[in-house]
Amino acid sequence: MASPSHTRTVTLKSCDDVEFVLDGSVATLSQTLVSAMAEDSSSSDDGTFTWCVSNITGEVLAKVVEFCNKHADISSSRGEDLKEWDKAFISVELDLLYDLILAADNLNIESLLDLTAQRVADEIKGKMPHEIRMLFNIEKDFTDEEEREIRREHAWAYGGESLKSFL
Amino acid sequence: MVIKTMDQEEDARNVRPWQDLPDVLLQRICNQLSLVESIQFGAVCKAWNTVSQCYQHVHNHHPWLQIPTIPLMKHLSSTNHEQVRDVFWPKNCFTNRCIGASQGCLIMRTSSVDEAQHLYLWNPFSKSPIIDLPPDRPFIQIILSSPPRPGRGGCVVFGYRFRTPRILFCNLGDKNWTCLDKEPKKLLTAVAFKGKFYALDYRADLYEIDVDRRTFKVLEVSGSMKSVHDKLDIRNATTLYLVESCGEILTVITRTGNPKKVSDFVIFRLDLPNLEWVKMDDLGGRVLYLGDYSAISSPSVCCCRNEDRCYKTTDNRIFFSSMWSMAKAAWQVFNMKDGTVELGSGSKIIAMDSRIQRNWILPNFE
Repeated sequence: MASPSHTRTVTLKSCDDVEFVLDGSVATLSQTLVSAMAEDSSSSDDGTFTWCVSNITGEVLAKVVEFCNKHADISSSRGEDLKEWDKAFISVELDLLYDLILAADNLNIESLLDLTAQRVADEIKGKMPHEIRMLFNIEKDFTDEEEREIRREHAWAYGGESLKSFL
Repeated sequence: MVIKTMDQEEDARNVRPWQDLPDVLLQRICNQLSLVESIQFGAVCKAWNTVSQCYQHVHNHHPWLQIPTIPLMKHLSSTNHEQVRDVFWPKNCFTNRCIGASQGCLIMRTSSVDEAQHLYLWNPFSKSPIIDLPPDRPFIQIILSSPPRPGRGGCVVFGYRFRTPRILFCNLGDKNWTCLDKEPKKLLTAVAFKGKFYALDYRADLYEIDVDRRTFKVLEVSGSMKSVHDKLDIRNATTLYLVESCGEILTVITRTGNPKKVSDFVIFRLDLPNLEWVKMDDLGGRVLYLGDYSAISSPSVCCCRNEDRCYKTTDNRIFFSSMWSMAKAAWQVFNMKDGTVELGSGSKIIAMDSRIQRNWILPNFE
């Protein structure tokens, strides 16, 4: 059995056969990889480990690897710089954002889950339900009556303004 | 070479099934939203609605502050996110006033030309109708024994005032108030606790009031609470609050309207079996919300992350708001652990404020 600390490199293979080689310490950001490496008994003596992610494309996996490399690099992973970097990193189209959330979930990378969820929440903030639907291309599956009922239940929530406009 | 039209390019984007995201991911997204935003989120589609309802349930721990501003239009403000909702009073009457809050209800009063008081309970967060109370002269404070559930009974409305009869109570639906068989001294604060009501009078004596038997007794409680109160209360400069918290009664003594530092709050917990006031050095993880005629305790809650002006965890803090406060904000936050004092938001709202009381309310969607 190979423990994660003994594994020097990890090879990630996307569903369209793109390969990424990661340092073992970078791979520990992914809880999925940590468990997989701990269970793996076939790991070769030179400490390499290969993991196929069947439902993540090379394009998305490249972004995930970029994120992990940045966040595992302790010298740069501090404070405002990293915050700025994250902000630039996550400024992506909604389709890619969707794929990134699922990839972060699949590989169980806590910090990427936080970042992607925050970005989606930022898109939602300050929008009315029909605007949110339009943005995310979601079909309304409520009947008009159900929708009216939801609005009636929370009538108080629809009448105001954000305090920010007062300050 | 294939030339894509604009339309096709549009089609290629935004085609991911966002409505089918796993619940655990939707929850993560929802956790970053304020209560109001989560309601908009829940109105998007059925799958998102289910997630937002779970979240709102958890969110009930964050009290809102009722802030009076200009007549007829009042605000409810959340302490968690910087949110303000305008709320129009249910009765279109110029003299509508909120005179307190208890168990998720605002206690409302209107007065008409003949000076008769009209009192009613109103839950601004639900669609349940207002509940009328028997009319009477002004009360100092009204509290409820439990959240009112029309038709189900069990909710006792308890009020006290300076004139005699000093204590009046009723059940929901009663046409008249009932008074006790004997009179207490002037009361300053009261709390409902385990089927009884407890109150402190102006000398900080503790009363245990049994409305079923229409009687009360003054409890002989040991500890330094009374002497601390006597020492601080020169020229009536202190305010007393009774708060129910984690199955105990707390007393908070503070400078009337204008505490400036953490040491301006002295807190005792009542050891009821041994009848002793025990001085507390810290709130033991609790959060207290003190308003003019409402005092709420809530377990510490971890709010959203990554928000610049958000209280990350709220343990060991007192959120204080009073019409007598000189602070240039709707509320102040006293951190009992590290001694810091922060201003809450809403400076402009308060600038418009006249001396009308402010009260905390815990949202209840029932």
